[in-house]
Amino acid sequence: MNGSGAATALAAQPRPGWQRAVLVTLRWSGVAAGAALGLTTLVRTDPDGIGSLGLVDVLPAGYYVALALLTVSFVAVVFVDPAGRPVVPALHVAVFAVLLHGAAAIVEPLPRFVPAWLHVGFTDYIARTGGTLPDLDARFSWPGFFALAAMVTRAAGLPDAMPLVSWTPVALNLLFAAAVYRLARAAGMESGAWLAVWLFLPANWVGQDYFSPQGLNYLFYLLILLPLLVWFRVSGLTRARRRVGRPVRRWPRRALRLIRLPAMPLLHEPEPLPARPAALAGLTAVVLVLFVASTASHQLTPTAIVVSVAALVAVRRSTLRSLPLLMVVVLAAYISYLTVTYWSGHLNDMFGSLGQLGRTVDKGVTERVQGDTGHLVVLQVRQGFALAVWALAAVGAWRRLRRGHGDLAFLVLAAAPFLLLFLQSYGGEVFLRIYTFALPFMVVFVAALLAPVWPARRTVVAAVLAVLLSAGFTGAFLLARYGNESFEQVRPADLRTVDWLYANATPGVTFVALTSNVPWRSRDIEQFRYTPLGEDLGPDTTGAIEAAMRSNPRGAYLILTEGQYVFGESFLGKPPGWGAQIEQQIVASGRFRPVYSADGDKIFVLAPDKPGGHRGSTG
Amino acid sequence: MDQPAELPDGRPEPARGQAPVPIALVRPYIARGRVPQDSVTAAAPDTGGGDDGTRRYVPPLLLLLAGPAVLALIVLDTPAWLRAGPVMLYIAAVPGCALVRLLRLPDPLTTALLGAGTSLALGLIAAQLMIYAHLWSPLLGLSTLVVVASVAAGAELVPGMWPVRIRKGAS
Repeated sequence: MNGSGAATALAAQPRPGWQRAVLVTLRWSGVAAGAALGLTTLVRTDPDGIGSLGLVDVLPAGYYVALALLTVSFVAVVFVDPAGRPVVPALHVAVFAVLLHGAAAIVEPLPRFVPAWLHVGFTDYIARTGGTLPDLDARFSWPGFFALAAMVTRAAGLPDAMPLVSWTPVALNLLFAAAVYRLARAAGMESGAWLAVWLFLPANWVGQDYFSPQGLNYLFYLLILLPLLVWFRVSGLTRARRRVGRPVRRWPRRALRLIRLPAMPLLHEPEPLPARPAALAGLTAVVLVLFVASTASHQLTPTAIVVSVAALVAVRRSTLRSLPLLMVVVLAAYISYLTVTYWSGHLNDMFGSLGQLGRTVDKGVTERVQGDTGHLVVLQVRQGFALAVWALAAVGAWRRLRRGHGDLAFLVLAAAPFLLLFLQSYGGEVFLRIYTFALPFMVVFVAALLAPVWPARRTVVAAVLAVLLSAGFTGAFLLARYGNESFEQVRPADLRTVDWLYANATPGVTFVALTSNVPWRSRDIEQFRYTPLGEDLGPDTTGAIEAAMRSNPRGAYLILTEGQYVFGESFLGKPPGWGAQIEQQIVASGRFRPVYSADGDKIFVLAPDKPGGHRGSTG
Repeated sequence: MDQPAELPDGRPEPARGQAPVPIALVRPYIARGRVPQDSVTAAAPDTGGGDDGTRRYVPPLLLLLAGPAVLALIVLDTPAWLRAGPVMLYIAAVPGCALVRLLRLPDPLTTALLGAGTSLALGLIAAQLMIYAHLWSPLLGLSTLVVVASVAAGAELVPGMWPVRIRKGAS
């Protein structure tokens, strides 16, 4: 294994041939052993034991050993030979991404996360019909992602988009990682860029990287900011020219001295890369194409993009000064003409959060804290993790400023997403979104805590701290990301029940469930009605269930599955045994007739009121 | 190359195998502030000539040929296990990479990233336009992307379009 002490001893240049051979062997063996051990242990893991702490309940010790091995090997490579060939750290990062973001895909038998199944249903509808259903769901007013997925699956000869769901998080995180690496390089970091990427992977626990428009849009967000930070920065010369003839603006030196910063903390801001005017014009076109695609595919991300780009212009760190205005025009045009069906009934949803900071914070923090003990632990870990990243980033930014390597563009981009608090409530997910959009810039500052190493003799200390930091991030990731796996996994028994439903129900009937956590709507979404729709909790008393089923004269089915019960108890805070009690009441009422029962899951139809009376379902 | 390529100042490009271009040839551009002096490679212009000229033709040629190959897989109705990978890779990478390569960015990672992003964005826009135009056809969408990629890759094969090569530099 690559030990950091031994690694430092090997750092002296030039090395004898045998030392180089040993170093090369250690580099490759570390990543190979980590990958082999991690993958084999994940493949053998039994998902049946997943409990209130999620995947952590079943992950074997070998998995943690593999992660530790990989981390030590990576840190040794990055801190010992930062100028070495990038293929070795890149391979470490790729394996790390697979082990972290592919863990559920390997352990669980079915693609996880019910919303991803719904997106497969949207994709399926477009692939079959070539149209959208904006009246059915708001997401059809921004159908770009689903249209792309439909085109890809049909062209690829796949029956639906389900084969893409499991590994989308891994693919997207690999792309995110590459973009974050390039962004960190644009901040002037060398080995620190690798560390930033390494920390980004576990810090990206939010779970917006599943098969969804927001996952793809996060890539667009990163790729729009990338050219702005590499080629469209304002050069130091231009900034100096602007200052000519103006009164000298002095930094508040006393305040700077108080926080132990030098008089010129932005002395060495990175310069833009040179490029021909034609290349700059081409890059601007690329940025606009990416923004148009983002506008057409997601309701929320374009706002974050406009805010970040406008913030760069506001602090005079972008030469594309009219770009935010152009983006606003594109956004307004799209919303005005192509989302009429949505906004004609949802103006309050779109603009109701403007300036309502208190309500947005309440929705984002207070209303989301509910559920059983395990779920509350997960929520606390998530909040603590986010606060820790922000705090570490603040110290890292301070360290860079202390050396005069501050970068106003990165500081502004780390802070700009917080403006979203005043603009959109994001359906109560505002803090998750802020955290996600700020993360690439935050991790650059977190990495700046340890790299570059000042002074050089502290390399070993920095390497050990990097291992500890990575271990802390990884542990928190496994809880924050997979802590809800008890209800975010899709159980094979639940899917078999849903399959029976689709195989036996006639089009037009209503499917009723206690909660929304059912792997339905992944096919034929327009042919059936669903309750609940858009809410987590459905009817949960016998009377309410019967009323919901009788509301459709064509008939209705009640589906009860294990996944709903766990979701109700763990996420919605229902008492233990809640689902079983409702099931008993349903059976005891005599007003429902079971038509399917297997593996603890059941399907009911309404029993006839009286001989010759109304029959609730075509069962 | 049938037509002799031109250097930035209009002079003809030296034949293959000749000595690198003197830096004096690009000095007017440096003087105008377009290109910093230390970023100019004092070598043959990026026109496909020189020792690695043949290698430079390979990527656009592959991008050009990939389109018909992928279309053939679909038209011949090959099974999903055979065509799913190539088709998805093509839509996710090729059109954008062919376009972004025209910009001659100094680092391959950024080219690949922006190329992938642009590919996905173009595919998304094409698919959505087909919905609005009531012309839904995955084959039509893919064919459009193939045309875009082929035009871009073909343009890269035209010699003498990008005379000054920006050297890879630290960002």
